[in-house]
Amino acid sequence: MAIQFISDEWIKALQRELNESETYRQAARNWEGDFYFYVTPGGPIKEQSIFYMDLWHGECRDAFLVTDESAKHPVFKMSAPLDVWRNVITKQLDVIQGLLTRQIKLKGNMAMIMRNVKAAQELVECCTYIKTEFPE
Amino acid sequence: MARFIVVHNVAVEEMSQDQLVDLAKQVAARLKPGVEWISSWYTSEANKLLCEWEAPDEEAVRAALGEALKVYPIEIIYSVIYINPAWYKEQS
Repeated sequence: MAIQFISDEWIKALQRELNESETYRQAARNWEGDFYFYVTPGGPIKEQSIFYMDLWHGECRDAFLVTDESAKHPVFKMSAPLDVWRNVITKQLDVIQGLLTRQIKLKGNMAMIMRNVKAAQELVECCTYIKTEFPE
Repeated sequence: MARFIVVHNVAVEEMSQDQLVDLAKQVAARLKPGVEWISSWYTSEANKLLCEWEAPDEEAVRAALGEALKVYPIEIIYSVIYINPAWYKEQS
């Protein structure tokens, strides 16, 4: 059964996928840093939504749909509208290309993400394992 | 026109998305006629940037890079010959 994209259930499904993936664990073994992923308004999305992920040495230690933005102060913040995230998750847009063309906006150290490109790509790969229902 | 592969070291530990994209846009905007930035490849294993150029000479490439050389200093420039695998594919 498909999971609604903007939901706590979806981000926790991704957390499970990451923690079960040996490929992700290896690719992200040097990664330290947590994220806010913003889905910005546009199309069917009327209000901003935020996912939080705490990624640490190949493990996703925490993940949830944020209700209070001030609850965490992540090292990285990525934001994009729904259609861009959908293109990333369905692998129509490479996440690094999205960052280099500012389709995805980043606050944080871009050089660190570039040095860990394999981890970013494996994270996207894990997204593809989740049967996702996007808002229409 | 001559072709070059330019190997850059990445000299910074930290860089924002805007700094990176704006630097690339500056290089693209500085290109003079006869100088073309064809493609670039970043390798995280070596933390190097490999860029393919078409230009009259090495100096034209360096001139186009401008401020980017502070962030991406040149390790070496190779003058190269282009080889296209399509030249060797049998026509059906």
